[in-house]
Amino acid sequence: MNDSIRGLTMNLSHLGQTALVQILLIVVTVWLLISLIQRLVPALASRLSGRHRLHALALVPVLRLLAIAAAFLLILQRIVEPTFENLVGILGALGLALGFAAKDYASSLIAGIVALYELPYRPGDWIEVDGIYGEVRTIGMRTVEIVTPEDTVAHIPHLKLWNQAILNANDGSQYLQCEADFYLHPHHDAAQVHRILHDVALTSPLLQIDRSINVIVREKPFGTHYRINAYPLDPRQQFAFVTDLTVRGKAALRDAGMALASVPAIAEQSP
Amino acid sequence: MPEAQIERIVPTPDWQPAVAALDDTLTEWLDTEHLSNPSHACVFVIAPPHGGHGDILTAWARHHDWRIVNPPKLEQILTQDLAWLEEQVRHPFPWVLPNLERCYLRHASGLELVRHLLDRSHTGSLGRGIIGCDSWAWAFLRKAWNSPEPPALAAQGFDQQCLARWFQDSIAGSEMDRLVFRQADSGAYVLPPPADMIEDKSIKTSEFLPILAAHVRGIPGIAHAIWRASLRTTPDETLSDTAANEDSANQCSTVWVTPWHQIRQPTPTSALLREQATLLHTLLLHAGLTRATLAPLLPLALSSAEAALACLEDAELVIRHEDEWRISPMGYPIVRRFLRDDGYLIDGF
Repeated sequence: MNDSIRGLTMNLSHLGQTALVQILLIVVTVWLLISLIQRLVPALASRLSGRHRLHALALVPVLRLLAIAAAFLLILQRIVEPTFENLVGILGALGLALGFAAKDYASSLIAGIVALYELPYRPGDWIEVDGIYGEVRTIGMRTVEIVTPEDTVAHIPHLKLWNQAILNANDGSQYLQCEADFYLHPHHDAAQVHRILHDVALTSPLLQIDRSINVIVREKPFGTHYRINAYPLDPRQQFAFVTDLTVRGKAALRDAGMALASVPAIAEQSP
Repeated sequence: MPEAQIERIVPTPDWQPAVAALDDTLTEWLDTEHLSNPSHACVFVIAPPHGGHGDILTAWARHHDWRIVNPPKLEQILTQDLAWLEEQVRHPFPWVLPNLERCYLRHASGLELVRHLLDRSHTGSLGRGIIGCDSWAWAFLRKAWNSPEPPALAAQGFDQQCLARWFQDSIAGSEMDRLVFRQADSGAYVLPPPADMIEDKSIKTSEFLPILAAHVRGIPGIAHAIWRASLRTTPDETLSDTAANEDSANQCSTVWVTPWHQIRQPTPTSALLREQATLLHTLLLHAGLTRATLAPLLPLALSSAEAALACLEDAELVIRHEDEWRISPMGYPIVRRFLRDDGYLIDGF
């Protein structure tokens, strides 16, 4: 190990001006290439629709990782002679430095690479991490950037991947299940309400009709709970879809003479 | 080209050959007095938009003196008024319902009546009948009505030979049968010229009709609209001198056809299509709707629906026919392609 590091030091001391210029050029070129990929591919994806958009967006982190890996190899060739000893030496030194100085940062970087392999989230996915829900906009080296329904951008470090549950609502597809809830007074014809709510979902202009529609009925102490499970055409329409189901569902139930459950509000008493 | 001249060369479609073809197809069914399967008492005829199924079935019913069933009123659909259906059952005669797409609404209260109608037709309790339906409405109703696939007929799509024969037949026997149709930029023949007119057997033929047939997916009504829009009286400047000489030599007159890439077609932005996709889809599912009917079917206020329709009319994607808004024939291929790519339910044609 000592010999490797001594050899590596000698190689580095012989690093000429030409090599430095070449390294600089590689860094700048790769940086430009990555910037271009990060702008061009999402712009192209925004012109596409449905699954084509998601596939295009998923290319961004993969292309960026390939560009960085290529740059790393090209630079390594210019710094040291790529022998086994030299590689062990340089990677060992790099590992020690990262391990002590920037453990969390390095952990996030490694988790970022794992994320590209395991795909717990992709651009266009709707995920929930640590109670934050939103659409994945970009996957960076260290963080994943999501946009919440309130239009707030949240940067979540990849290292959450190690010990936290990542909830992915559509998992790379365009199918994202939505729920619309209704609470009715218990005295009614449940079969009729079931039919009405099924048709409410079936006739939604935002429905992904190729997926199943389920109406789940549960009896609660205060009334009957109905839940429509259905899929919107596009995950980005989920809130408009739930709103449409709720508005039209309430109207249809009212037209059928159904009474909604009402629970009197009870003020919370302090102990 | 002036509208009157276009009307003479490409008159409004005459569906009589289609009526005869339907008659031939139904011969066996008509000749069978006792059907072994009651679900075969009704036959469905499905056609894409601008396929003319309503006109064809109406003409067929008049020819055979079958009762034509008018669709229920809007209020009857929404109130699920079964009296309309009972009225149909009271008559013992065979019947034709030319437009099933007028019997439902994509609304929570707009499906019960059509389900009753389809259930009863399936059990044979409505007697013998023929139901015509638009292909988009049929695609939706197959999702809304859970039953085995009933017997259904569809006309074959028009390929380039069918289109050529159809366009030529419309001028045959008239004073215009000395017309030839040539492409305005190359002079290539779009429709084959009569054999006695051209001595040269190695004439150049145009690729216009194969492209047209593929673009319109074989739908005659849409091909008809584009064909009308493509005709003109003069060729490109490069051809004008030679064309006059050829016409006098062949004792014919030429109708010039705009090259495919020069035909003015709707070019909506993808943003407009995306914003108004639900509206366009709703119009297709109902084969056209009035302004007032459209608003309750969409998560839109009436004023927003009006504004959207105005934008789509400017983009030549929708047209107003009497009181009703429909997808324009020229806009249909573009709208269908967009809705398919965006994951909407589309027809099978």
